[in-house]
This record gives sequence, C-alpha cells and structure tokens, in this order.
Amino acid sequence: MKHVELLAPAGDLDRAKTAIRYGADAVYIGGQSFSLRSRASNFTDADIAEACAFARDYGASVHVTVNIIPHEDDLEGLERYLRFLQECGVKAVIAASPTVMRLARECAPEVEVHCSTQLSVTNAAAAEFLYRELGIDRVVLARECTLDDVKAITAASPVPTEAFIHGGMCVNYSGRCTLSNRMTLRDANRGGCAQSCRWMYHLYEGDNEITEEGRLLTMGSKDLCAADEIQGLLEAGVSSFKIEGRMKTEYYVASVVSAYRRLIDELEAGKIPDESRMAYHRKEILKGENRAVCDGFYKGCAGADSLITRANSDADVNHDFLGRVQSFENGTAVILSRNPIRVNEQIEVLSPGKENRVFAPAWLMDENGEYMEECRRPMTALRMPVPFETAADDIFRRFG
Amino acid sequence: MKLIVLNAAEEQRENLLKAGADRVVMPLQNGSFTAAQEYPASSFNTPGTDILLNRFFFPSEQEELTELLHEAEELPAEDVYFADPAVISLASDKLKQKLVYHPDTLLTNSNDMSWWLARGIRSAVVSPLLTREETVSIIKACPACTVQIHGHTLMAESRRPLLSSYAPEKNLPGKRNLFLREEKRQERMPVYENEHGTLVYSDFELMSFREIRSFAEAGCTRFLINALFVPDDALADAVRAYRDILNGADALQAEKDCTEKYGYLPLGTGYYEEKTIK
Repeated sequence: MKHVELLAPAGDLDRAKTAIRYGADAVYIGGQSFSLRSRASNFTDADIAEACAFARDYGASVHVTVNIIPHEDDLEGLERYLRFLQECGVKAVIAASPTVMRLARECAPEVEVHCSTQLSVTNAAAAEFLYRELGIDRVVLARECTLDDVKAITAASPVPTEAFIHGGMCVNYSGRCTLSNRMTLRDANRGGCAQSCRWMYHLYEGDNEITEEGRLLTMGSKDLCAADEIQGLLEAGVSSFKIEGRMKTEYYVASVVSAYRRLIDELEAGKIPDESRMAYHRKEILKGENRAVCDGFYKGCAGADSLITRANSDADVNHDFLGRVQSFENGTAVILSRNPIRVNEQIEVLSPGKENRVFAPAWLMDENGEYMEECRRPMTALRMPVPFETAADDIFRRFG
Repeated sequence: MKLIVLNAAEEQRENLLKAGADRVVMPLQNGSFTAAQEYPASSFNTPGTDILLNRFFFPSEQEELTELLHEAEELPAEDVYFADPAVISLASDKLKQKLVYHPDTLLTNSNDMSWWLARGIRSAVVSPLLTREETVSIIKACPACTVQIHGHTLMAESRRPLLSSYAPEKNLPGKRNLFLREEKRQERMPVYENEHGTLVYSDFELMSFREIRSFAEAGCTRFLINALFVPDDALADAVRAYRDILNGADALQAEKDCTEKYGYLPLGTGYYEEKTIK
C-alpha cells in the first residue's frame, strides 16, 4: 500500500508548524491574496517562506490555496505571486480558475497544480478533461462523492486524487453557492462566505408556511468525520487525505491531525483495528471537534442526519483545550492557559510523535507566584508540576 | 442578436418564438438539474429548440451520460448547455461545436471566459454575480459569450434533499411553488428539490432593459432569459420588450411599462450596481 499524504489546514504560521509537528505530511495555507477563507489569518510572504523552510526540515510540504473565482480586477500581481511561491519551494497550488492554473503552469512550472474542490469534480471524465487541457497534477474530489464514486474516479483518473476526510462541509456544491453574496454582499467564491446556509429560514408552499414555530429550517451541514472510511479510501488508492479547517484553532489542528496520523499509520502498517480500537480512534479524532459530525456522502447521499437542525450556540464550543506548553524545566511546565483548569484535574498531554499521557497537577501557580485552586483567566502563564518530560508546544487538554 | 429563453416549457415555446425569442432551451430528461420540467428527446425536434444538459454526473451514470451525449448530437438543437466538464470531455467534435458552458457562478472574468471559448465550444455564460461594468469588460474581451439578462438566477445547488430532510411527511420533492425566507428578511427565494438534490434561486427577477443595448454595443450577441418562476405573459412581454429595445425602442419606457404592469413581480437589477466584497 502506498503512503497516503495527510494534508492539514493551517490558518497561520503557528498552526502550520503545529500541524507538521503533529504528523501532517503537508499543510495547505492561504496567502493574503487569491485565497478563499479571507477571515483566516492568512500568511504574509515571509510566513510562506518560513512555513516552507520549516516543512522541509520535517520532510513535509506546503500547498498554497490560490482558489478564488476571480473577477476582472482580482488577477493583478498573480504572476509575481506564483513565481514567489515557486522560489519558496511550495509544492503545489490549489486552484479553481483555469487562468490561475494556466499561469501557474507558465510562471511556476516546478509547482504542482491541484484542481480545487470548487470545480466539483464528480467523475473521471472531468478529471481527464482538466488534465488534458490544463495539465493538472492532482484533483480534489467533490465532497458529494460516495466511497464507491471515489474508488471509481481514482481508478480511472489520469491524475492522483485527493479526498476530504474531516472538517466542515458546504451543504451545497462548492463554488455553486451564492447565498452569502445575496444576503451580505460577501462573495463566497472570493473568500467572503458568511455561511448563510447555517442561518434560519421559513419555508412556504405558496403562501402557506410549512415551517413550524420554534423549528425553522437550516441548511447547515454537520462536519465530516470519515474515520470509518479511512481504510476504504486507502484501498481506493486516494493519494491525499485532506482535513478542512483553516479557520480552526491550533488545538483542533494538533488534536485531529495526531489522531488521524495514528489511525493511518496503523492501517498502513497492516494493523486492522477491531471495533474497540476504532472506537478509540473515533473518540480521539472527535476530541478537537466543536460540532456534530456525520460521514458525509461516503456511505451514500447525505440525508437528514447530515444536517444541523438548529443555529450554532455557545454550548457547541469545545472547552477541552487547556493550553500550550511554553517551557518545561525541573519537572515544572509553564503553559499559556486557554480554558479553566483545577488542581488535581486529569490532564492529557499531546506530544508530537508520542502516545498521549495523563497526569493530575498537585498545584497551580500564576505568573505572580500565587498558588491557586483553579485558574479561570485565559492566557495566564500557569506553572504546574508534571511527572514526566514535556516540551515547548506540547498541548494540554482536559482528559475524558 | 439572439434572445434565448432558458428553462422554457414545451407549451410556451411557440408563443416565445412568436414574441421574438430566437431559441428556447428545454431541460433534457435525465440530463438536467433545474426546477423546470424535463422533456424526452422527442420534444426537441421542433425548430428553435435547444438542450439543457447541466447536471453533475457520477461514475455510476457514465453510461447514461454517453447515451445523453449521443442523443444531443443527433437532435437538431443548435446549442447544448452544460456544467459538468465531463460533457466536453466526452463530446464528439460535432457535439463540441454545439456546447455552451453554463456553470452559473464560475465565469467571472474575461481570462477564464477566453479559456473556455478556446476549447472549441459555441459559447459560455457569464456569471450573473457581476456589476454592469464587469459584465461589459468580459463582453468586450469575449464577444462570443452569453449574458443572462432576465429572470431568476441560481443561488445554490446541493446534492442533498434539504426540504424532505426537514419535512419528510410533506412530500415536497417536485413541487414548484416552494419558497425560503431568511428569518430576518422579507424576500422569498424559490426552492426546488428532486432526485438530484435541491436548488435555491434568487429572490429577485433580474431585468436588464437599461443594460441590454450597452451589452450589445460592447459586442454581445447572445442574451439569456430564464423562464423559471416568471408568469407566461410577463415572460412573453419581456422577450418582446428586449427585442424592441435591440431594434431601437426606448429602454426606459420598456422598463417603466414592465415594472408598472408587473409590479407584483420581484423585478430587480441584481448585482449590476452592487459590487460584492471579498
């Protein structure tokens, strides 16, 4: 079985490094122009260069999204940018516009061109066309494909395929939704998506309202979690497994990437997990999630159980991320706290390349040297004893 | 100058051609995804009829697509409107010359338009998400393009059964009188579900009485009118008005006549004066 690429999202340089440390083979990032997710922090040119250098040190690679559907005046500076990406050592650009793909071929011939899911490729003939006419190196499949579709397309496609395995899903075909444009004038195909699909709607038949009071219609999709499909996707010969979430936190990145890394490594080593082991993997993967999940279209057309039936609320926010280690010396770790922590609470430590470990701190001390039973203030430089070695950038999270 | 009525019903065809339409485009059975009624190949033998073949195809539908392409090639249609690149990938040279790429939302600049036109197809449809100036810029660079000038525009296309997921007991698939209204807004957006998924259309009915002449002067010769959710008489009047304007009639008067007579319709100028932001 060939090694599949685990491709992780990164909204900024810090998260790119986190993803790579925690086992991503590649990260995809957006620059400050030409990329969707304009509300992600996005990378300066210097950040891109540093991300590439960091990735090289770990044997990983950087893909850059150049995936806007450009208007007339959006293409200025693109050629310079593509040349710059090549100079940095970017492995691939992810593009949806034929013009971007063509220019990438011309200006940055050493950079691969990956066809974005914005083009909704749902069959091998479409992939063949894009390969023939634009010389694409990889196709990111539409999230509407079932596992059988993925198998068939991958078998017949002239280029390697990439499939989403985790994260947010558009309820509509990517690139074919302009709800945000109409509701907010924010262009979904140029990075401005306001996620209007997740808002609440009344439904009418003629003049009669169908929606019931207190239960309006929302079109938001649950997030994708394809843990149970990883083996099938590996057998299908998919070349890259993509995690969605350039807007997500470093905790999400570390948690989800490390959990999938563990599952994929086991499968690639020929260890087929039994049900209890799969339950463990599922649990680990979902520790970083804020939203309900589904298996998307992999088992067949996504139906009612793939949809969110209520508006998002604060109750959905995951409070398990306790902080990231800043330093560790003489058995004492200093973390930058993110959520409330109590003395003797069980804490799980995520360290790149290691099994997760658990401990319970006997004391907590803030930056003023004050002992405390509980720290409720985020961003406190919090000291605590740890009975094993940890290192800067390790992640502490609530255990359970 | 071609006035093309998209998503027309078979029974509207004669009236629309009489009103000044050059072509009517009807959805081909099993080949389209639209709220309009689909028709078997036998309905496409009447002169002036073109084919809508705009749905996405999945691997298990490859044989079906091959048959549809064969049908489209044999029919007397001049134009075949498609969205899935598989269509052009598998089309014969003869069929390719009939193809019009219509991805609804994706063709937003003249470079991409030029690229598609250079693939040997008849035309491609400019996204209706653009300002008047952006549209003219694309037309000037690519006069072979097609521009939607009237009717509702597609806002969202999903493979999911969004309506029956909400209310399975209401038997909503196939119904053409359904609307969504966002809870803080008043506008109603037509919504339609069938076996291919769910479509949401714009709350507004685009009108371009003031724009069509400048589009024509910029070089455009193909104008699209979407028949969906437009009453028969309003549709025929719109076709007549656009034809008259192209023949020199007063555009402002035509707009006034239309908005007065059909004041109950959500006529609007779409994105012509509203630039979206990134």
